[in-house]
Amino acid sequence: MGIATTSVGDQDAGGRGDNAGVEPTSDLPAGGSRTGLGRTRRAAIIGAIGGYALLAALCRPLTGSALVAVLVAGTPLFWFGVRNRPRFARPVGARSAAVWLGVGGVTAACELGLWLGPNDRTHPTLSTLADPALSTYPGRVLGYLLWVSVGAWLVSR
Amino acid sequence: MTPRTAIVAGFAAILALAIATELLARRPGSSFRPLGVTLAAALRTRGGRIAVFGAWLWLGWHFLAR
Repeated sequence: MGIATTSVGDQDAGGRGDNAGVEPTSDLPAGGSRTGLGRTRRAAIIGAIGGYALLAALCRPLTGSALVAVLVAGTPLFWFGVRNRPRFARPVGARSAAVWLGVGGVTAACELGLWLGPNDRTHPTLSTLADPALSTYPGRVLGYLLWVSVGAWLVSR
Repeated sequence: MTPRTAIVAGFAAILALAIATELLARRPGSSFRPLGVTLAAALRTRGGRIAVFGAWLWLGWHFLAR
């Protein structure tokens, strides 16, 4: 996923360059262009994600079918993600971990505090604030697209 | 200011903080890395993978199904 901009000569022994956030070219041929098989696979994955989102969004929130829709995609991606070590990950310093754990921790504390506490119209959680958007079909399509795309991106690391 | 307004403002501030942090991380010479790179690094250990994918699965359930 994404555009690789480093040449083969820029890569280190692990097949990765120094350019943070830019994907390595280890899955590309020496010429730098994607193979037909790679493009087909990429198109199939995008099509599957889109098709899943269109179907899953038919399930309204707070229903058993919505839970099934989340688990249908979530369980296999969780399974593959936990089983496989990432191919494209380099270590980062403790400072990076601390900064992002801080941001995530503050967000999680606010959300969980409100969710386990009052969680009414006066004290809404993020998910309560998102409910008006997620109560519409286009909003749910967007929500499922975003969620499953993040999962697919994580598995592809 | 009502509690609802304060809470919405708080979440907006957290979002702004996250965006600012990401932009700072992408600057040359930054002492910390962008979120995507940090998340990918967290996947290097089994515990990290369970935490990251568990959080992702919980978010899907929390926003889309619960």
